Amino acid sequence: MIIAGVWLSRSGRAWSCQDCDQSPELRRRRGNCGVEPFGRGLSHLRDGRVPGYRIAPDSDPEFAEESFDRCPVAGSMAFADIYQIYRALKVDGLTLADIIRRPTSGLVEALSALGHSSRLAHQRDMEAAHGDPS
Amino acid sequence: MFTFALSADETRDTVLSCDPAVSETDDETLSAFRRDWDESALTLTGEPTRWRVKALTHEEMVNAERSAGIHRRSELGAKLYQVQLSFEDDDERARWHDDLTLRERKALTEHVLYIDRWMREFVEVGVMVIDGEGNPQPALEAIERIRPAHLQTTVLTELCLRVRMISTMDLEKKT
Repeated sequence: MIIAGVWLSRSGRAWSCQDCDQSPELRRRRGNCGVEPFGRGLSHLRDGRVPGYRIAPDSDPEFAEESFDRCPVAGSMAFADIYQIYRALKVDGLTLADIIRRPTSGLVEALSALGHSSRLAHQRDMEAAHGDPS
Repeated sequence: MFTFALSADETRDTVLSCDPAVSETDDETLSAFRRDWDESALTLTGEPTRWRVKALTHEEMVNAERSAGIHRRSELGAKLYQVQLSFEDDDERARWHDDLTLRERKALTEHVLYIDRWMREFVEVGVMVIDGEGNPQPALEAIERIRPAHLQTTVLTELCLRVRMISTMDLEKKT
């Protein structure tokens, strides 16, 4: 889910879930999407899961191998705090210790996953800029 | 999803799904509770024991593993332990164990002891038990008083899973 945030923002469009489109109320509650409302009516569902490449076209193959059983937009929203921390580290030049005195193992792992996927996304952008859209 | 804490100074209070006070809760609800920690769905028949779980830093996790003897543990034992867990049928598992050589049995036993030490190290760093007056106390001492004794392992296992849950990204939920 946290990696989805990188590829969703790069693809320039958000995930479009039929259920949410038809029900604005459900869209507002998207942070609590369960498997049932997420999967119902989706034509590209495979064993109750949606492949990553459907969500973010032209993503790195590493992300395309992932699959989702709940709304990835809602999922990546849940990680908003971590994206802010990542941004503060990359853009504002802060250190992790400046933001959180004793980071958990999970936070370090999440930042590492974000960093790795961001590098892959940058690489895809460079390939596209040089005419290699593969 | 997103159950882990950002700071190792964060704690969460919880009850356990193996607590006798929640034994009348159906399996599906207990299974959901182990994922989402939502106590409101539990059927209580008494006052459950409350535990305070703390998120760990990467360093604390590594230190707990090191103290338990991760560098001395038997790789063969670890492999056999995984195989043992894969059996759903008790009879099949017993027959498999009976066919092991003495060396393999020793390696398996050593690994089981390592897992037990690892769980105790984890709980010592990451868990407190809330006493009758609402004060947090060392959890290991309370666990060792649990009778029947075999429940101690069940409690340790569930507490370890909870410490892991708020300390690390839940690997199964990454996708």
